[in-house]
Amino acid sequence: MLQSNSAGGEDNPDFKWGAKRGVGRKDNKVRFYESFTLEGIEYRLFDCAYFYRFLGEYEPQWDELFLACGDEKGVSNINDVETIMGKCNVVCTSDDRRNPRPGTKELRRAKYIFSRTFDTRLRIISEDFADAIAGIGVDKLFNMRRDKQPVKRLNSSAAAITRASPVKSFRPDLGSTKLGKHDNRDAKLMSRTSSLKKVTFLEDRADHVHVKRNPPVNTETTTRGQIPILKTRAFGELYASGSSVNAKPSKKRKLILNTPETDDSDDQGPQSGEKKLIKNPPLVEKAPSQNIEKKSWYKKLPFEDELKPAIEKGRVLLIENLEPSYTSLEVEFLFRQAFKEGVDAKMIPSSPMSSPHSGRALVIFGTTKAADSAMSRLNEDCLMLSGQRALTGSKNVPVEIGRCRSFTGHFNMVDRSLMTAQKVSCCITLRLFSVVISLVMVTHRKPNSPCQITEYYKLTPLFSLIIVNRPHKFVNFQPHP
Amino acid sequence: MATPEEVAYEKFLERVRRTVYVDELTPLATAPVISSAFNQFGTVKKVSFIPNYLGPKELPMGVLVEMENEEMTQAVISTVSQLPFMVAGMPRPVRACAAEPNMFVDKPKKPGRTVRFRWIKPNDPDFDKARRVKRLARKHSAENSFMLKKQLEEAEKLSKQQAETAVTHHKKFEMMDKLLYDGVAQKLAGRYDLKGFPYR
Repeated sequence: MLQSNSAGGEDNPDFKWGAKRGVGRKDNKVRFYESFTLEGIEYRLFDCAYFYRFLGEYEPQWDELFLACGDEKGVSNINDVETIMGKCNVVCTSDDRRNPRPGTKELRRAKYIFSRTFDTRLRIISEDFADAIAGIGVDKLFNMRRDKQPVKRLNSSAAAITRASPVKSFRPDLGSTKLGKHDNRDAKLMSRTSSLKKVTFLEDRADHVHVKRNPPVNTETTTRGQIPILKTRAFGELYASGSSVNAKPSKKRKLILNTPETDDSDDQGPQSGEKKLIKNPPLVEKAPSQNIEKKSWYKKLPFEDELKPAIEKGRVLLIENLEPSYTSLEVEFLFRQAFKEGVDAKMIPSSPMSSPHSGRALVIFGTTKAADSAMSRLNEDCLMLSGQRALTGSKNVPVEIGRCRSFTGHFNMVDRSLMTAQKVSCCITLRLFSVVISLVMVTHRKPNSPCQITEYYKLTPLFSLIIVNRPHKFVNFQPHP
Repeated sequence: MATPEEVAYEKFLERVRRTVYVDELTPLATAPVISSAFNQFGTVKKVSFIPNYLGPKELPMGVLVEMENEEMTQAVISTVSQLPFMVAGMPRPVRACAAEPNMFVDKPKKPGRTVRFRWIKPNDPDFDKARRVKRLARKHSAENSFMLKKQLEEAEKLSKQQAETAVTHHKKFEMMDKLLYDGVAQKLAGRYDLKGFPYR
């Protein structure tokens, strides 16, 4: 979902954003959310919803929508949240054999039906459904099969067919509007949710919608780049603004929620919750949202792998003066509570070289902006933990992650299988070789008293040598002829 | 009745007691090398490296070696601290000490503890105090990293010095050997009538 910056939920007491998903790629003032609550109704990603659509010359029919297809604008859009009118049920009445027929109940409950597609490029309405629309298998857009339905629905549909359930979902993000062209026939709109992937189309029929549920929200658009930003306004202005909008309807709302995470989600099996959702928009309801946990969006990388790109982008803070016994999870919890940010944290394990009184942690934020704002908040205010610990944060993180390159004063035995005394002298470096030679010569001087290396160690620690597999016996260098 | 959390923590503490923290290890050492090195003292159950996230990168590597029982742990610690013990190279001996819970990356949460915090705004009476605490914490951490840097420099210096000493010793021995080999030493001993000269 798209949030316009200034038009937050503050203007409207009944409106509240839900989980945040990310920031716009081009414009980081744009935020994407997974859900929001309006007047007590929670809208989640992949829900079916109807939108304000400004149709211009369209004369939409009352309950028929067209499924947008093709690859032109209008198949999938980013929509502003204010354009969402409410959740709705959409049923597919197409005779296509891939489409389970809706039962009468479903039809009755459906707010909209669709049985045809509208090609945004060719601008024709057709009864044929392509195999995939905007990257989504068309079977996901048809009614849901009964066997796939959530349990609670099972009893409802008699046949194997899905019921087109009314769609509840409303997903601003996803919902894209498709517009027919103006010149085309009666473009209807439909709003149908489609998958994550950016596809959803349909528009609502504006009037219908308005009449039924007119949200208190109004929109006024300001276009920013391609993405219109809507501000909430007084109720009455809606229509007026609408008219201004429809001048270039197709430009305006664009695709919806296509955030990076979405892509990752594709990797998951087709059975994942999201896909299911997509599959029958009508059924969607809440299942989707719940399944779409953060986890399902991307696989969690090992911390080191995440750290590297995060450091490059400045998303990492080093937090100091934590209680040393905190675990990484506790630090993540602390940040969730104190900064309202989901972070990835790692406590730095203590060592004899680190302070025993102060724990440190590396914290990876989702965005650079979040890291910066947390940083400045830490500096301006004080975050006091129990035990009078005031947290300090810094961007003083290592530039490079990697293993140590050198180890002063130590000669590695490159081949680890070579660990015996004789072999040590084979694979040590030239300088050490001279040391060993010296040792041999010392022994040579006193043939009857084998050289105890520990004695030598007292003279020059560099010379001490204990072989790993014989730690209790000191190595004797026997003089070689 | 102990909660599952407490049981898990108790188990963890027991693991801590069986574990030796070993540092001054070369970064090239691998888990098999370390476990074969410490298997001489008993049975090594697990070797886990402590990641060095914050550097400096030249710091020696630390590793937690989990032994089978506490006696073995004691044996490792006492032997390694009394005698120089070298792993995967020379001549820097490793150090060993008893592990502490905070050294473990995967330590469990302390049972019964909740994270508490409060924001102190600039208009809060405690704000000044909190700011002083913060400053002190920063100072400590700066001092700590400075000391580490200093220590590494010292190590570097010492290593250079030792290398020079070794080369000098080597040269000296070489010269002596040559003198003995070509008979100059014997001749000189005869000339000066050194009765105690052993290699005549």
